[in-house]
Amino acid sequence: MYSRELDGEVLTLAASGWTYENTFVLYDHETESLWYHLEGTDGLTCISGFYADRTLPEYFAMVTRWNRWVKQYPTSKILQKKRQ
Amino acid sequence: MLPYRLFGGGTYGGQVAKGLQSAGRSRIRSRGFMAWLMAAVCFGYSCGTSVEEIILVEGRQPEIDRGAPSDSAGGAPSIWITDRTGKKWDIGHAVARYGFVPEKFAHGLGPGAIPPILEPLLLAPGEPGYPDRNQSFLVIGTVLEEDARAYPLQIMSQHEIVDEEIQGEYVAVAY
Repeated sequence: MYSRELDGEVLTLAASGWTYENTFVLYDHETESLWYHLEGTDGLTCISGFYADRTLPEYFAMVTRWNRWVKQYPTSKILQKKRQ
Repeated sequence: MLPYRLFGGGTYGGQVAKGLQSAGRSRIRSRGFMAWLMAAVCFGYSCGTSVEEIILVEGRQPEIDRGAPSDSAGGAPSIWITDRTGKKWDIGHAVARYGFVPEKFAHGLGPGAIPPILEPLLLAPGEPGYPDRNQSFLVIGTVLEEDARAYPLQIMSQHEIVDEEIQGEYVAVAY
């Protein structure tokens, strides 16, 4: 999970449709800069575009099973399947 | 050889499996990406979405055009790669500054192929549809300022990104 706030702006991150070394290359809707999680670093780095060389820090996130997660966090909300 | 019956069998199933196999030969070694790919296949197949189109990747390299220096790329010579929608992306800075190899950019599905979730709907405990606590499906779990949220991989595999706001913080949950 990454922060998407930069210089007081909120970026809309999405998949660019590209992968690089089996990792999705992201981009932001606002400037179409490309964002990538460089191996050995934390967070996202803008590898090309308006925000070149800027970084977005990451927050804790883990892949786990629902039953284990909700046992640890009984008040957890869950993303609903999209209606559209 | 991947079981083509998984993809509906027949000639089309065989083509999908072959497409996966050839795409997989040199690129898909990362466990994470393979997990995404298989999740996308399984969930897409069961959900009736056209995930097969995403998987049928051509093995060819992206079209690469090298051009004059561009300000928007941070001053490095522009290198354009074209995705399958015809959209061009300047990766010159990525090459000059981070050593990216243009030929290694793959898929090029275009920005609309895997749309992010921009307005996520979340269920709280007690609300109708909140899943039984004994179910063991996979999720991405996050906690930010004591606000715990779970994002099922079945959904994440189809969207890759959820643009969220958690306790006033704007974040992107990524698979």
